[in-house]
Amino acid sequence: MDDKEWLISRKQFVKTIVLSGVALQLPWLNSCSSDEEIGETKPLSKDQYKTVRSVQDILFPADGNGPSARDIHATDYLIWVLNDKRVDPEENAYIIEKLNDFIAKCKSDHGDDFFDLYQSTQEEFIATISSESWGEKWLSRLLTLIFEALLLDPSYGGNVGEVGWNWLSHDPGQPRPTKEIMYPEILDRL
Amino acid sequence: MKYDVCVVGSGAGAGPVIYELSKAGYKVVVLEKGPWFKTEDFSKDEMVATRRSVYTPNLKDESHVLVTQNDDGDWMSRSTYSSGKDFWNGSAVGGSSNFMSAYFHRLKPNDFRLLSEFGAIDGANIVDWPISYDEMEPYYAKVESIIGVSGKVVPHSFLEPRSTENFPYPALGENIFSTWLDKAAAKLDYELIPAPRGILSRPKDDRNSCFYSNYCGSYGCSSDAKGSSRVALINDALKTGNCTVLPNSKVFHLQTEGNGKIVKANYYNKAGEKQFVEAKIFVVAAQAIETSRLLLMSKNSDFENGLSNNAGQVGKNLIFSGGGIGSGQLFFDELTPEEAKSLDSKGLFINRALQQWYEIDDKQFGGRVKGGTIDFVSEHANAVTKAIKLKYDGGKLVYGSALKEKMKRYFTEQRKLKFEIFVDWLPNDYCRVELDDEVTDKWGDPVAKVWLGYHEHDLKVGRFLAEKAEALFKEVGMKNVHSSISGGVSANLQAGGCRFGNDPKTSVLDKNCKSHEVSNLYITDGSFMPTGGSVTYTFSIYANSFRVADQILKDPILKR
Ligand SMILES: Cc1cc2nc3c(=O)[nH]c(=O)nc-3n(C[C@H](O)[C@H](O)[C@H](O)COP(=O)(O)OP(=O)(O)OC[C@H]3O[C@@H](n4cnc5c(N)ncnc54)[C@H](O)[C@@H]3O)c2cc1C
Ligand code: SF4
Repeated sequence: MDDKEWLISRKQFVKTIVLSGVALQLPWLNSCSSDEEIGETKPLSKDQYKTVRSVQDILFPADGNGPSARDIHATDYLIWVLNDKRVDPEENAYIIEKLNDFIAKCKSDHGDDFFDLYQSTQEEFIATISSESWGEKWLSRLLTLIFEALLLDPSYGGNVGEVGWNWLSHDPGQPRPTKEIMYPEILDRL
Repeated sequence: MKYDVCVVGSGAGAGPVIYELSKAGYKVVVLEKGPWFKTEDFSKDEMVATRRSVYTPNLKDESHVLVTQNDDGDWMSRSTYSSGKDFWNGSAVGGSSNFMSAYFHRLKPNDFRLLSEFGAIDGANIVDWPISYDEMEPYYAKVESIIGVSGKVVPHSFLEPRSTENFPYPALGENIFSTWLDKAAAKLDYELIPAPRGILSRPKDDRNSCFYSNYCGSYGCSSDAKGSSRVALINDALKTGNCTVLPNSKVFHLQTEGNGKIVKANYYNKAGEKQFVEAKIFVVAAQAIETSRLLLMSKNSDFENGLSNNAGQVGKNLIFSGGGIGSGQLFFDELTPEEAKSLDSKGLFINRALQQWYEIDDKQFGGRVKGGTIDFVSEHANAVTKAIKLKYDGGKLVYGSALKEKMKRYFTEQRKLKFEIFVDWLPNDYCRVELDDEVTDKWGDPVAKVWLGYHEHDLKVGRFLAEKAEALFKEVGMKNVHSSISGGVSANLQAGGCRFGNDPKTSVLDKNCKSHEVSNLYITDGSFMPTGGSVTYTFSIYANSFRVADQILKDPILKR
C-alpha cells in the first residue's frame, strides 16, 4: 500500500468511528482501545500521555494532507525531550505543569478526560484554551515540538521514513548525521 | 613551560595571530573555551546546528544579562536564561567563524574617518580611527588569498581602492534570481554588484571548494571551503609543530604582578579545575563582549577597575551591525515551469549587494550622511525554523488542518528571498559591557551585563536603504514585499568595547591594538573598532589581526 492509499483508508477509518460514536452517543473509543500500544510514558502517567497525544491529534491531525502527529511519533518524541537532562528542566516542568492545568480545566468544564471527549468537543476546548494566554503558550510549545518530530532527522525518533520531508519536498542537505555526531552524543564525546 | 604567546579564543580575531606567530617559529598556546569540532563532526543536522545548545553554551550554565529600554524609556535588565534570547555565537575551536555565512565586504576609506567626513552627531561617540584604509589594504589582500575570498570586482561609485585587480577566487555559482535582480536593477539605474564571500570556489591546499550544501550559516562546513579560522589558519599553524590548542579551557583571569605585565592566564579545564599558562605575550580575542568581560574580571591591586581599565574605557562603546531585514516572495504558479524549477534549485547563492548609498546625499538628512550596504540572500533552508514562523497569523495561533495547509503551500509553492541592511551602529553611552552584580556562570564568575542602546539616526538610515531594496524587489515582481528596521541587535555581529586610539584617556588600545596600560597585552577580535562601518565585521577582523600579528612579530618582548 503506498502512502496515499494508506492515508485514504485511514481517513475512512477515522470517519467510521466518528459516525458510530455519534450514533451511539458514546465518546471516542480509540483511547481505551489503543492503551496497549502505549510504551514507556515516564515522566508522564498513562493518562497524561493519552491527553497530550489527543491534543497533538487536534494540533496536527490525520486529515489526508501529509502525516499526522501519530504518523511522526510526536508523543514519543515529546517523551524523549521530557527525559533529556540537557534541556532546561524548567522548560520541561512547564510543559507538564500546564498539561496538568489542561487536564484539570477539561475535567471541570466537561466532567471528563480530554481523550474521552468527542472530537468536536475536543476541538472546541482547544479553541477555548488557545485564546487564553497560558493555553496559547503551551499549545505553541507543543507545536514547536511537533515540528521537530516532523522535520528533524528521522534518527531522533520522529519523521518516520522521512515522511515529513517528503510531504514538504524538503531537502535536508548532505552529509546526514551519524550516531556519534548527533545530539547529545557529540557533546559527550568532545 | 613558558610559551612565547598565549592566545585566548580561537575565532576570526585569534586565527591570524596563531597562524603568523606559529609560522614564524614562536611557541603559541591557544586557550579555547569550547570543544574542538573537526570537519568530520559536521553534518546538516538542524538539531545540532540550531535546535539545541551544541555549538554554544547551555544558557543555564552560561548566560548574559541584557539591558534594553522599554517604551516608557526605562532600562530593564533580564538574563538570557530567563528570556531565551541566546547571545552566544559559536564556542569551539575556530569560534563563530565556523558557523558564519561569510559575506565579506571590506570597509571603505570613509569608514576610517567617520568624524572628519560626516561630523559629530548628538548622543553618538563618533571618532576617527587612528589608522587609515591604506594601512589596512595590504591585509585585506592577504585575507583574500590566505582565507580565500571569492567574487568579482566591478567598478561602482564606492568601490574601495585595491592593490589587486580581482579576488583570487572566481565568483560562486548563482541562482537564477540573481539575473532577475540584475535586470530589475538596470531598469532602476541601481549599481547592483556581485557580493564577495569568504568561501572557496576552487580547491586550495587541503581545502575543497564549496559544494553548495544549501546549509551554510549556522552550520559547520564539510568541504572546508568556508574560511573559518579553524580550517584556514589553525590547521596550518598546527602543522608547524609550534602551536598547542587547549580546547574546553575557559580563561577567567589574566594575572599581572605589579609591573603592568601579565604573567599568567588562569583558566578552568574541562573537569573544572583551575590551571594556568605562562607566556611572554598575551593576545585576547574572545569576541567583543567576552573580551571586555575578561578584562573587567581580571581586577587586582594594579588595576582595581579591571585590566587595562584605569581610564574606565573597557566595555564602553560596544557596537553591533545596525539596520534590519526585508523579504519578498515569488510564487511558482506565476512563473514558467522552467523558471520555477531554476528558482527552486537548492544551494546556489544570490550573492548580490548594493553599496550605491554607502554615502547618502539626500535632503531628508539635511546633507551628506553615511549610508550602508544591502545584501540579497535566500531564506535559510532550516525547516523547523520555517515551520515555527508559520505558527501565527495576525497574532493568533494557527493549528490543525489550517496550519498543515499553510505549511504545505509555504514549503512547496513559493520561494522567499530576503535582503539584509547594514548601517553603522553609532557608538553611544548606552551600548556597553559591564559585569553583572547577581548572575554568575557555572564557575561562579559574573556574567556580562550588556547594554543594548542604539541611536535613532541608525534607524533613519536603515529605512532609507530599505525603501531602495523594496523597490528593487517590487521591480522583480515579488509579492508581499516588506522590511523591518529596528534597534534590535544581531548578537553575532559585535565589535567595540576596547577601542583603539592615540589617547590613553579615551581608548584602551594603541593603534597596534596593544593595551595602553599593559605592556604585553594585545586584543585582536573586533573589540578595537571605535566605529564599525556599514558591512559585517569578519573580513576586517581577519585583516586587522594579520596587521597586528606583524606588529607582535616586531615586539621586543618576544625576543627576550
Ligand atoms: C550564524 C552566523 C553567521 C555569520 N555570518 C557572517 C557573515 O556573513 N559575515 C561576517 O562578516 N560575519 C558573520 N558572522 C560573524 C562572525 O562569525 C564573527 O564576526 C567572527 O567570528 C568574530 O570573530 P571573533 O574572534 O571576535 O569571535 P569568535 O569567532 O566567536 O571567536 C571567539 C572565541 O573565543 C572563545 N572564548 C570566549 N570567551 C573565552 C574565554 N573566557 N576563554 C577562552 N575562550 C573564550 C569562544 O568560545 C570563541 O570560540 C556570523 C556569525 C554567525 C554565528
Ligand atoms: S559547502 Fe559551501 S555552502 Fe556548504 S557550508 Fe561549505 S561553504 Fe557553506
